[in-house]
Amino acid sequence: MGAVPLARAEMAEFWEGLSTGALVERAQTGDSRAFEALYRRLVGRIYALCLRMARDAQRAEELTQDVFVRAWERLGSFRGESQFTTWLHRLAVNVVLQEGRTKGRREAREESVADPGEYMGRVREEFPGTRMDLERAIASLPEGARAVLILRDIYGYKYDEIATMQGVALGTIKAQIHRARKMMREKLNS
Amino acid sequence: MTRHIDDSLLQDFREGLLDPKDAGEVREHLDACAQCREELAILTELLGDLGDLPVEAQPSRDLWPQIAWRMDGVKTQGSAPSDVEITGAAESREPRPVQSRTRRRFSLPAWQLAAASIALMVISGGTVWAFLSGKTGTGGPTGPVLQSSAQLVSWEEAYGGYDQAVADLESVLERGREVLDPETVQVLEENLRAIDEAIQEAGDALIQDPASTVLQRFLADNFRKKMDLLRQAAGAVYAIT
Repeated sequence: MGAVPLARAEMAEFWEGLSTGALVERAQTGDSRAFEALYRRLVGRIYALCLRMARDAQRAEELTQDVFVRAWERLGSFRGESQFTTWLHRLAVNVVLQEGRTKGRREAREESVADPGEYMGRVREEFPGTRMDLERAIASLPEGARAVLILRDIYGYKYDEIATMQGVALGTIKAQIHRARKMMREKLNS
Repeated sequence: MTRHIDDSLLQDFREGLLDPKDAGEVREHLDACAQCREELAILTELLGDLGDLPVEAQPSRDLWPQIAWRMDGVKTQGSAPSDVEITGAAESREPRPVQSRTRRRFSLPAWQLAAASIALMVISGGTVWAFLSGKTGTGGPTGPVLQSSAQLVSWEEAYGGYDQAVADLESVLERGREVLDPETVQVLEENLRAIDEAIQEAGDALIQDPASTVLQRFLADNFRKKMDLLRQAAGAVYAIT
């Protein structure tokens, strides 16, 4: 007799019951259902990261897709030295920054949001109860400073983790965060 | 330390990154300087507020179907070309000459790809005999192949067998055409035609709006309906032959 088939609700419960590590192991064997469960578990964090970094909801959705597709492609290279979430965040940061560089529009985007009203409207919708003054100030930061501030002060990564994520020197990361916080205070006071 | 504390130094102090000697000097200065204490309080409040911001948000739509397509594309790259091109954010923004663009092509039509991630609940038939009762002259399902359990399979698992299963069931139905009541056959054919039209329409609509979960569900529902109907019909044929 074969395995007893599971109904949809039972399957969802089964996947939800597995640890992230167990899902990663299954996904690494090519199990797309395990990868979907990882997606369901982590999409909120990745999308939020992409949204704050890209400052454009539609682009953030496209970038989120890119992150997960790239994660699927590179899952074999994840060796478990770091948390999978950290690995995925690093991928997300790279995807967002790389997309900016690819476009050659990085400088043009640094100081302005494509559509500030639209973006802030989406922020209000998608981060209910968030501090809009803070979100507005974050959105106005230059790209590098914004990325570091988000990773350090919102997501709580350590400086050395952020340096590894971005592949830049620790001193550079510290300088960026100092600058970002100073700018935040200035913007909040203005 | 007589001058006010440098902003970067204050941040490092706040985060506990200074060595004990430097931290001691900063602490000493803070004891004596109200302005720097105020700066530290503002910084602390800012970091607290940032730390309280939400770290999750949900996209306006389910992104999984498109991700699943593209995952499938990773596996099937290099297969026979089709009419589908799927691009990611990095590829979709700025126009480039078509000849130099890296295309991702897939061997399945768009509507099938749209369904690629749908977990399809394939429900075996055999219980809805009312549809055929009185027509077949049988009292119930005596056919050998029907099950009543629900089985969850991924689309990849289900789709591979779907076409074949439909073909097999249609073949049974064709064979049973002579033994089934003509009126029953007509009702069956009308229902199958309606379902096929719905599948076609959903497929066409998915080409226009491939991310629509509503359309994907509609498509999956109609696949399931067709399978159910064919199974019922096949069950009836088995029952009387």
